[in-house]
Amino acid sequence: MSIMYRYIFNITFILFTLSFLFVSCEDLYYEDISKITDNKALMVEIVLTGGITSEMEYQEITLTKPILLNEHSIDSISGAAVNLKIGNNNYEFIEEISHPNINNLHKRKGTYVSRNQIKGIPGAVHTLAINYSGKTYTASEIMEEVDPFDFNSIDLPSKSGGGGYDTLGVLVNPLLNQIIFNFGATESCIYNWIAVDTIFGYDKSESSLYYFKVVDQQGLLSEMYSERISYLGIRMSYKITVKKSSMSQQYENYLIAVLKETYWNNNLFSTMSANVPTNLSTGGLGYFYASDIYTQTISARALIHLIDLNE
Amino acid sequence: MRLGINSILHDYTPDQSNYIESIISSMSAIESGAYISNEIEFINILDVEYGIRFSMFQNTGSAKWYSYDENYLPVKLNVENKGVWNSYNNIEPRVIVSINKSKINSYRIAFTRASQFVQILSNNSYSYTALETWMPASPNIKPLISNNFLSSYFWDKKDVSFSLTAYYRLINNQIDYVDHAKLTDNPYIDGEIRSGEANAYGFELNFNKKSGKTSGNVSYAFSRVLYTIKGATSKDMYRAPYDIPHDIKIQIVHEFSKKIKASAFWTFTSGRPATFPIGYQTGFPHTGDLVSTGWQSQIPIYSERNSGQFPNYHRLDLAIIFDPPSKKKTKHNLTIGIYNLYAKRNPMGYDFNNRIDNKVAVFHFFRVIPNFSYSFKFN
Repeated sequence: MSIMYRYIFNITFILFTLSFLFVSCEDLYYEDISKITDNKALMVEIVLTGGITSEMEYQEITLTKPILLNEHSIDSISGAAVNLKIGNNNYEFIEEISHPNINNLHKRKGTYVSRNQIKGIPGAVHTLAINYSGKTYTASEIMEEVDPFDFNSIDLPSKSGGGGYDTLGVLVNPLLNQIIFNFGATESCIYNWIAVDTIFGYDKSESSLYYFKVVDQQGLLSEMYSERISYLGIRMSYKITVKKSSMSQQYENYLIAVLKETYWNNNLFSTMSANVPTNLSTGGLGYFYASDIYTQTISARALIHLIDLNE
Repeated sequence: MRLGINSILHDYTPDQSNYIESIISSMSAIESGAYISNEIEFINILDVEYGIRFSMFQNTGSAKWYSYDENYLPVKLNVENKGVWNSYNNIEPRVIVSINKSKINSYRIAFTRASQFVQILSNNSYSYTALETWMPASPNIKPLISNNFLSSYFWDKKDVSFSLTAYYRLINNQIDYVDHAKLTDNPYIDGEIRSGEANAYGFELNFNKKSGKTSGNVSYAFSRVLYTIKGATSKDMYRAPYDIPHDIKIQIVHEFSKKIKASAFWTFTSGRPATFPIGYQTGFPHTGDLVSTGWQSQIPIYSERNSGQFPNYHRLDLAIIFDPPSKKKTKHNLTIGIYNLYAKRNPMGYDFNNRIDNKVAVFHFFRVIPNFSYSFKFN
C-alpha cells in the first residue's frame, strides 16, 4: 500500500508543479476570424456616405463596399448611376474620374459629384437613387431648416494662451468631464469652426462640434452627447468662419449611433452593440443627409474682443 | 402545515465611480413576503403539496426618478422624500403533485408562480462583464413574474438514482436594453429599457451513483431561453444572453483507500450568445477633425442581437484528497488540485479592433490554476 501512496503522491506532485508553468491571470491570443463569424451573413452590397447641403456647390457622395473582418482595403464602387431628385427637379451625379467640370489631379473612384453646382432646398424632400449591378437603391431625406445664430448670442469659450497666439479654450461639461463649447443650442446641429490665416492662407485650423438634442426634464438640451473637440489655435490675423448645419431626427440618430459604435466606444461597457441606422433601401448601409447651412464669419480680433467683453 | 414571513431592506447606490460625480439617484426598497403551505396524502400513492405566497415590494425613502412619454423621452423629474411612494403586490400560488413519493419509481408535476423584484441586465458583447446591473422594480420597471410548469420522473435505488425533469417557464416583464443604450453614467437609463416576455423550456437528466469505491454524478441539461421584447432591437424575438442549450457535468470520486481519494470534474456548456461584428462599413461625414484625433472610421456591421456565439466552454479539474483517519483530538485534510488540467483557453471576449491578417485578439482568464487546501478541526 505504501508503494501505491508514494506513486500517487509523486504523480500528483509532478502535475501540480508542472501546472505552475501554465498559470496566467489574463492571456491574449489570436484566433481565426472564420471560427467566430460567418462572412455569408454579411448581406450588404453598398455603403453610402455623403449628402447635400443648401450651399451652392458641387455636391458629392461616396459609394464603397462593406469590409469583411479579415479584409483591410476599402473597395470603391465604380460605374454606378446616381441621380438626385429635389421636388420635381432631377440632378445627375457623375463619377469624379470622368467628371467633365472637375479637373483635380487626384480624381477619385467611387466618388460621385453633381454635374453642376447645385444646392438643396430647406423643407423639400431630397431623394437619391443609385443604380448599381442591376439593383436600385434609394434614400430620402427632408432638409430641416437651420436656425441662424450670431456671435453675440452664443456663450463664447474662455480665452487662454499668449504671445502670438490666443487659444480659444473650452468649457468642461460638469457631468461627464467632456470638453465642449457651450453654444446654448436650441436644436440638434453641427458647428464647424474654420479658422484661416488671412496673411498665410495655407495656415488653417478646423474643428467640428456636434450638438444632439437630448431633452431633459426641464425641456433643456442636455450636453451629455456633445462631442469632444480639440482646441482651436488662432492668431490675430485669422478669420473665423462658423458654419451651422441642420440635421434631421433620423440623421441625428445615425450620428449618435455611429459615435457610440466608434469614437465613444472606448471600454467594455460603453454601449449595447447594434447596427447603426440607415436611410438607404434594403441591401444598402450608410446615410444620405440633407443639411441646411447658416454661415457667419468674424475676425479673430473681433471674436477675442467679444470674449473680453464677456469675461 | 408551514407558514412564514420574511422581509428584506434593499439599498441601491448605482453609478458609483471614482472619476465622476454620481448622476443617478440612489434608491431604497422593502421586499416582504408571507406564505402558507400544506401537504396532504391520498390513498398512499398521491401526495399533494399546495400553498400560496403573498409578496410585496415597496420603493421607499428619498429618491429621484424620471417619468417617460410614449417615445421613452424623459418628461418629468419626480422627487420623493420619504415613505412608500410605489408598491407592487403579487400572489404566488404553488401546487406540487407527487405520485409514489418515497418509492423506487416516482413522478411529480408542479405549477409554481414566482415574482422577482430585482432584475439583472448585461451588455451583449462579452461572456462575462462586471457591468451586470441589478435593476430594482420601480414605477418604470415592473417586477418579473414567472409561471413555471414542471414534470419529473425519479428512479431511486439504494446505490443509484436517475431523474428526468422537463419544464416550461413563461416569464412576464422581462427587461432588456435597447440598441445603443448608454450603459454607464446615464440618468435616463430607464428610458433605454424595454420589457416583454421570456420563454424558457428544456429538460434535465441526472444519474447518480451514491456508494461504492467509485461514486459520481452525470447530468445533462438542454435548455433554451428566448426573449420576445418589442422595440429593443431589430427583431422582436431573439436569444436571451443566457440561452445556453447544452450543459454537461460529470463528477467521479474514486476512493483508493480510506486515506486517499481522487476526484475528477468535467464540465461542458454551449457558448454563450453574443453580438459580434461580421464586417465593417466606412463613412461618417463632417468628421475631418475627428479623424485626425484618432477616431476610427470603421463602423461595425452586426447580424442580429445575440446571434453570434462564443466557443463551447469545457474544462477538466482534478484533485487528490488526503484524508487520514482522525486521531484523538484532531482531524486533518489535504487537497491538492488542478483547475482546467488541459489548459483549455475559454474566451471571455474578443477585441475586434485588434486584428492581424485573418485573426482576431481573444482574451481570457486563468488557463491552469494549481490549488491546494489544508484543513484541520478539533474533535
